[in-house]
Amino acid sequence: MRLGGILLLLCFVLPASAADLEVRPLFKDNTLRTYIPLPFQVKGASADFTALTAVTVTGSSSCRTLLDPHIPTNFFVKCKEPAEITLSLSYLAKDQIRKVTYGPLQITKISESGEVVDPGGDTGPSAEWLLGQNLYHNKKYSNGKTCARCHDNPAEKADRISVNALNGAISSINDMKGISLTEAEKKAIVTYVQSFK
Amino acid sequence: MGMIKKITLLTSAFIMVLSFQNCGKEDMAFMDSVVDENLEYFNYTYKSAPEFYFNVNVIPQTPVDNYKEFLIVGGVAASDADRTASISWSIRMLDAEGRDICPRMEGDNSMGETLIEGSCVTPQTNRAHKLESKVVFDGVEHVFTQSLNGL
Repeated sequence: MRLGGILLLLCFVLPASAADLEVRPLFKDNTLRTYIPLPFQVKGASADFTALTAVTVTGSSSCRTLLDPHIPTNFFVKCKEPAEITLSLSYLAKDQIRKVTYGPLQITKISESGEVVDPGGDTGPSAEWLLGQNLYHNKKYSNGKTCARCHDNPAEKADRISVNALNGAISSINDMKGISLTEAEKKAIVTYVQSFK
Repeated sequence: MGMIKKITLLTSAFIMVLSFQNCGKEDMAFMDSVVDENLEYFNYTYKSAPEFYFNVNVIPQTPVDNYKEFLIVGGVAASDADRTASISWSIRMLDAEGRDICPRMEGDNSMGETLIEGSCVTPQTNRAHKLESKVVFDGVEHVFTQSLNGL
């Protein structure tokens, strides 16, 4: 009976014990903005703390979290929409998983006007540029040709191309008259061609 | 051993076994791809434990009078809350030939400020192909680049 009682205690009572974890934002409040990865550091208030195991966000579906792959006490939160969020952290302490909440945090829009450009970054070109590249080189239009068939060097038009110029060409040049493109597709082609400037 | 004791002991043992089940997914390749995608989402490119975190975003504004403006907003912070360090940064927007399209943006975040803000105003005909950021953290220079694909 005594052994069973101890095991039951291990299963239920200890994991619910009080949290002993300090959450420290590594940024000032004026940096609490959308699109900025917000770093946090945790520190065990007692020697029991072993490692952070998970962080979840409540209050917005536009936020994600990341445990720093190189620094086990650090994690990030990044939101794409303004929101008031609360963090729920799970951590290992004395071989038990414990939980603590942190917040609320008020995430504001990164800028009053304009939208963040998804950078090509070191990870490659933007989705719009790639769409433009594909439309330019691979898509065959109603005349059976790709853009590149007649304009094999996009750099030649890089200085002059715009959505208006493209519309003008489609409406006035016989071989281009049947070409059907959405506004987004035209913009993507313009972005691709202008990148050769 | 009485029946109640047996039931208590068996129930406890069963719950303990459940607690220590390995619930990890077996498809490690899938997990790796999820991790990679999340690192990309956070623009996490550090190959080893970084001394500081740095991130900037480009926000194009509506052009006015043949000029366009890009706001630069981001953050820089030491990766350890107990560390005080000198932090300065400079950011350049470059065209395809590596020429500046607007004056260099600079700032000093040594006093614990973590926000980075700047503005690049340039003639509409200029195209931004690259964002080059230099951060000097405790005297050591670090360079970050982002492709902008002719904004």
